[in-house]
Amino acid sequence: MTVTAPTATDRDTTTASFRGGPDLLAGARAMLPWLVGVVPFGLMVGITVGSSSIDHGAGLATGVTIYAGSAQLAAISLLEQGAAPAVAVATVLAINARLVFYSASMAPRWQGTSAWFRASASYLLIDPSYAVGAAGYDRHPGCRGNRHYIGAALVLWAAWQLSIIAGYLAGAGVPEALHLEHAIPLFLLAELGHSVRGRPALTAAAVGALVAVVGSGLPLHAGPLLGIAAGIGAAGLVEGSRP
Amino acid sequence: MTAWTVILLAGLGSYLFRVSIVFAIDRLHAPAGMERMAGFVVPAAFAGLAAAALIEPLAARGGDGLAVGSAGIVTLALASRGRPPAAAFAGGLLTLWAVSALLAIN
Repeated sequence: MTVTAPTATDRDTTTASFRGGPDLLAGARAMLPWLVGVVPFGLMVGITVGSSSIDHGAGLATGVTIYAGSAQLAAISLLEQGAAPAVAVATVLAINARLVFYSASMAPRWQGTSAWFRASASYLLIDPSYAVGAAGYDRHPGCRGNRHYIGAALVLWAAWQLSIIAGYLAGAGVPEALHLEHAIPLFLLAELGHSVRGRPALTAAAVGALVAVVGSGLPLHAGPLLGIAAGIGAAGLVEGSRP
Repeated sequence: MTAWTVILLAGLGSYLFRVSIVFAIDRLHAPAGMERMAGFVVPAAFAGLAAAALIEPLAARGGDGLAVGSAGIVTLALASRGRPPAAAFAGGLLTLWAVSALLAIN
């Protein structure tokens, strides 16, 4: 076997392929604090799958197909209760309709990228990846922001799948007294308290929470979706009225 | 319809939500101010989701509401005083466990 020394072109290609490494790693690191809230919630989803009477393979597959904790729990619990399949699908879609807002927010940032990138990046879009990704684009627009987003989103995806499997395997070994079901709402509060500054953003949060609570009795979990729309609208009004 | 069909259809619909505007933007002109309004998605969405998830235990009679309420207040207080979100979350979760344990003893 003959071994040849790398040519200048080879070296350039190698350098280019690793050029995005620091941005990917920075994105992955930025996602780590989120995992303290995400992993307990994933464990709880896995435990719920293990204790349900539905096909466990299908329950675990919600992590890959639906990829949104509260919608996964709703699907599993409705199937377990014997709800009509159409009701289960409609409920998941109502809970996940907020993803259209994230899609609208990311769309201008991903304009001009390849269809493959947009299709993959969209699949990974969920609350934590949106939050970390949007913050990354604020610092580094363009390609660097794309790599930051992908690094963060891949870590989140892997941690989510692994925590669901871990919860499924641990099953009843995880004490109920840990109240893992409250992990994600508490982490969302922590993110809010840490990052929301200024009157328009505070208005978005206050109106979003209020409308979601008032609408909590609505069918198909429509409260949060209405809250998000009302919060964004109210913040726009407040910002528009500023001198 | 089997559980698998439900989960695949729900997954497909969720993916279409995720990808919808990302691809539609090539054909549609983004409304003026869309990027500015995008900055309000996180506060509105996170507050709406957290409130909807916490209102049920908060409204429940008994200790669960007190424990969850205390945890929420501690989390928000720590985070708004500049603590990192992970630390604020840990403080909230510890409060939840401590209050729940105290109420279980009494």
